[in-house]
Amino acid sequence: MMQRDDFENQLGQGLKRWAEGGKPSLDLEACVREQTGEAPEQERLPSLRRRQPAWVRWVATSAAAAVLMLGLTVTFPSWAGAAAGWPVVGPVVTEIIMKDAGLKWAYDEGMVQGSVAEATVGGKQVRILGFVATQTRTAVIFQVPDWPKPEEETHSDKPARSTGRLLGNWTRPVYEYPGVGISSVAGEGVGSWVPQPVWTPIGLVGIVETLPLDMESAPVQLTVSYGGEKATLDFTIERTDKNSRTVAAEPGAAQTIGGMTVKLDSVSYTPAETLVRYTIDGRTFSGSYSWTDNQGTSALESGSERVYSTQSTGTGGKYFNVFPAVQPPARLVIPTLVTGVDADLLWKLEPGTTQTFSGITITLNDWERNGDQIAFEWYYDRKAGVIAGFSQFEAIDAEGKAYPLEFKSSSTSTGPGPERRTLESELPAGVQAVAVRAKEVGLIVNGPWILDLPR
Amino acid sequence: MNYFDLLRAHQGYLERIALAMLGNRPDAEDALQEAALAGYRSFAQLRGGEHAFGSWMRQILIHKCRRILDGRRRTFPVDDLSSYIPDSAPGPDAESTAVWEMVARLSDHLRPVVVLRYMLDMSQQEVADALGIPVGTVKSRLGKALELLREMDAMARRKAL
Repeated sequence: MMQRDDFENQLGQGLKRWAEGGKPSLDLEACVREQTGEAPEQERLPSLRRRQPAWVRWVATSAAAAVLMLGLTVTFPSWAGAAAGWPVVGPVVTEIIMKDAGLKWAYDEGMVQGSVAEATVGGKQVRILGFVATQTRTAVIFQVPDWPKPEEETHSDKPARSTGRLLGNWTRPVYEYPGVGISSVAGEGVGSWVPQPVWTPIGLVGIVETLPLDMESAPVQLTVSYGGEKATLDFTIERTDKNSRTVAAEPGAAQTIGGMTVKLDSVSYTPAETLVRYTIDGRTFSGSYSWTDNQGTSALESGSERVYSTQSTGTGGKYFNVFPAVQPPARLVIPTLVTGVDADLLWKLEPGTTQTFSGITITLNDWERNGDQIAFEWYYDRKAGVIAGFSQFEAIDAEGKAYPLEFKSSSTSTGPGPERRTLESELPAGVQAVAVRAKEVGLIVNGPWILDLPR
Repeated sequence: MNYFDLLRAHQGYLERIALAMLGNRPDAEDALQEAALAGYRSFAQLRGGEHAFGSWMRQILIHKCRRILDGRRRTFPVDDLSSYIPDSAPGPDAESTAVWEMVARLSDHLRPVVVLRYMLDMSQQEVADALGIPVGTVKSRLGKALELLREMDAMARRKAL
């Protein structure tokens, strides 16, 4: 093993001590016996619940965490829509809220209209505007009023890694944004995730989400951090879909087109959303792609009403889509899917080189390298409706050796003109690439798949 | 030698490995449960007695974690910019907790190589084999990760002054 410096030694020792401090939190024996169908040797713990797509376990406790005032400013304004002195969300239609069926419902119901709680950390005020707790997630909406527009941010004193046209400063550290995390629910530690916050006229607005509540209401603790300071906030969240029901699909509720089979699993009708769960059999494309104008967005049709999916999640062939609430009878419409097909597209690293697949010409318009960072830009005719994207990239050196490339970021243009696809990655140290290869193409399979939802 | 007795003895450590690899508790629990089931089904094949159990289960768990990490890149709709807030998982002392909070902020590309290399003392080749990536990529990611971690550490020390 190469000699490590002091920092690396401290890193290793710290990680080992942290790992050795772990305490079991799951009843793995019960999980295994549940899956194998074997009788338990000892009494099983309650509350083992299956979540999509695997398991989760909530343990309800009666503990209510106290607010920790770490010498920072924490205030609890009363819950009121038009609290004096605070700009309300009402007149400001934020991108995040309006694009999310559940949050839009909460907004329309007046549940996102003020400030539930707020804290000031690192000189930044962070407000909790509201929450939504449904079958699929628990979501807390937060706002940072005093946040500069993105082009004015100067939080990183790191120089840009590249000033090229394609390579950008994608290594912006995560910790530049105020951190808002759901640290516990009903006294039990949880994980949470935060999609990229959005800058709006009322500042930064974002959502932090965790798994669904397993109870009607629960105390929730949030952790807010910025600039090395941290505060915790405590409040109670109640399920916002109390009047909901889940209906299993009829056996055989499936449709096959072009080798791709969509099988309906179940539907949950809630006041805020309609959730549709289904599986896709057939080889799906492993790469990234995007649609324009709802071309590929799933929809629900109910009478003359047509609503589009606002959230779509899938892994391992299992998917669920979230739609605005509809009343049955309704049907699921999936207009297109993308299937993966093996390919061998090889572009020399010379702008203008082309490859053709299914009659579609894909041009390597440009490429750029800075150290071990590399980026590519391709143009192709997406409007022909044949190719959605390509993936499984390799860099090829002069000896013909291939190096798999994993991409840090990708973008796809929308609008007139050919589809422009940009991908950034990194090369192994010392590799001089002379060509780039894609080994999979995403072919568009036109539907629509139409499945009646169970009532 | 009872499988579940051995599993319980190593479970706390395994939970931390899964959390460190995947960065969030729900995915870590998924990986642990899948690994526990896989270990149960192949327990009869374990060679080396109970002394080999720990490293054997770690290999199974790392494989499950890798599948989840690979699966994250195939989830649609495509959004490359999702970020995780570090899970609250304190260590036995402030220093180890601080180390975890830094490592947890690394991306899915960087965090696993750091965990395998520095927490589990795997060689670069072993890390490459475990994650299915070239050794060169392992070296490159370790370099980037250490650079970021040093910066975080330096920033934390400046704030403490």
